[in-house]
Amino acid sequence: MTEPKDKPIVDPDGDDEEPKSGDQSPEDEPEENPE
Amino acid sequence: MTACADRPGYLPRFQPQNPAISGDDNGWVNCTAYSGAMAAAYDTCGGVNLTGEMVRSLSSEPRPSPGSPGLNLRQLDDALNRYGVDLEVRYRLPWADFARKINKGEGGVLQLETGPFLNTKFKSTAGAVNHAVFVPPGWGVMDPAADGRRNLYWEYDGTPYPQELLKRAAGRLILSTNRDGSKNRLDYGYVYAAFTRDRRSTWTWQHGPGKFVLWRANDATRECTAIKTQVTGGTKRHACTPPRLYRTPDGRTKLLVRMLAGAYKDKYVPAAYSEEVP
Repeated sequence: MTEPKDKPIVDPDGDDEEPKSGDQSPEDEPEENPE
Repeated sequence: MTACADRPGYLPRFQPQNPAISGDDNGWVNCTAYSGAMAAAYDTCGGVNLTGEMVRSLSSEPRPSPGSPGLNLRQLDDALNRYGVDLEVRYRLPWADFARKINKGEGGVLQLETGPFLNTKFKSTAGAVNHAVFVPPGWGVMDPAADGRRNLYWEYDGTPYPQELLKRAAGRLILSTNRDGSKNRLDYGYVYAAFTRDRRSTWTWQHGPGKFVLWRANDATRECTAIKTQVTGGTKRHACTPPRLYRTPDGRTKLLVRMLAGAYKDKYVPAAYSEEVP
């Protein structure tokens, strides 16, 4: 007989990404046309 | 209302991130820290005067990670908490709400991608990069990269930026990069921002029919734990605290509010269903 496991709590609202600013320097040369 | 009711129009000292000016060897990757330093000064009416370099040193990554040397808004908030400055960090906030908060006197550290600036006089970076700026009331954006270097780039002088330009740049914020190099961006009309304290607004919370997670949280440690998934046929509207960021035991970040009344009094619930009452 297996013991019942607690069901994980699933957050219906999900997670937000947390981007960083500053990963590229303002002095970095452009790689592509931005727009 | 403005953070400095007794000093209307107070603005912090502009802080350029350029290592040649700031003396900060890591200045070029510290746009978030420099914007945050100006936000802290604004929040406290000049009471907390930190340099961007100091803010960086207070963060969870005092030495920039080689693979990802920048900072995010949660790291900035955590760093400034150590000086008693508590920013209101908001993810995916509608632009109209951002503009309303700035217009009523709050300052905001705004994350954006600089592409839309490149063909304007406000150009402050060589290419299109994720960046952070401090936006005070009046929209005279304090861009820490706007130092006028080599007469190629904008030099901060308090000139208001067109709101539409900022809105476009905010919506192009790069959230992540896929393996094939393509980028996931925030959408036009939304912002990632961290606001200075608002001493006037109240907040309410209400959830329609559906599910949400109830949380337990510690405001001193900023840690939270899920209690259970709550199913509701719709709640009444009750007062709550302003949104704050908390960390789950597995390292995820949650934006929560604490209920001040009603059936969930003193429980923490998702801030996505909260509303600011100006």
